[in-house]
Amino acid sequence: MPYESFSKTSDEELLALYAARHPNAANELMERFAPRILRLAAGILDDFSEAEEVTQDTMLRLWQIAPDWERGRAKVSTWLWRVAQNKCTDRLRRRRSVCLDEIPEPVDDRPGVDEVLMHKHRVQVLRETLAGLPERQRIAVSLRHIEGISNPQIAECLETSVEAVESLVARGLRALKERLANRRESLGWKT
Amino acid sequence: MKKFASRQGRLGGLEDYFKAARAEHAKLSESLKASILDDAISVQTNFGARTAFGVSARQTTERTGLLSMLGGWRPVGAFALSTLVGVGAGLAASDQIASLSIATPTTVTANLAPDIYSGLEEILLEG
Repeated sequence: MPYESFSKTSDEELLALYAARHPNAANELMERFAPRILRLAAGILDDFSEAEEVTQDTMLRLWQIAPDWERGRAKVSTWLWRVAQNKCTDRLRRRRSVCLDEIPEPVDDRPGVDEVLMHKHRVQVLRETLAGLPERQRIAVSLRHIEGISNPQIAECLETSVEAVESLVARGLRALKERLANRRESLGWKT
Repeated sequence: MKKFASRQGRLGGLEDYFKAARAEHAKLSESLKASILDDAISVQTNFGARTAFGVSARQTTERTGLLSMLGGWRPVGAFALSTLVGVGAGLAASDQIASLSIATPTTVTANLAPDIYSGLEEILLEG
């Protein structure tokens, strides 16, 4: 089959194509959204294998909703963030109900000699620090500053007002700054 | 540009962390890709069956919808319908009887034997 470009196809159109049994639409939807869902879930859950499960589950929900999707009702991306965020929240609640002692302590003192390792270390430190924030602040900050989603879209995901999102993000950033303030030098960044 | 600068200032150096996080997991593992696409294909192949089920369910709903339109008048409607059917059947039956009687007129001829009268006369005379 010749290469087919979907670059100008909107998310909604792509979903309609998938529902109409187009053979390549699923692949394009996966390439567009799955890496971002994975990153978001990894940021919220701080567990990569769980984040992979959330990504697969979220995409499965998208495949299932495709034939019933009502055009113009919501943005596909917003709907996906909401599903992913709800799945992460469910997992966090389940974890809490299991036992807090079972969650391993994060390891944050890896050696940073190699740039790749340093990069991973920085991401890990951010994740751990994010994990220490209240749940909604963590989700709001991840969606806003890692995924680059607009405040109105986040408000829709979290089912709250734009003002509440702004407040959540601001408080989350303030807390992150405080917690990361004295670690910048150890992570190889100039202060 | 001004907006970007003010945002940088507001983030107070956190942008470096976010940039690092954005660069992470830009690609999915092959096994995760395969699982997601497997799901997509299996859901897609079930679309036909689901559509057929949807049509049948919709027809049932339409029938139920028509009945529900009658609301509290449903027993009255049922009685009226059965009466109508009964009257119709009755009319059809009477029509058949009429046509049958027209088609085969029956003539009854009384052949009274003369000895009946004579017997009667005898009884009267005796009395």
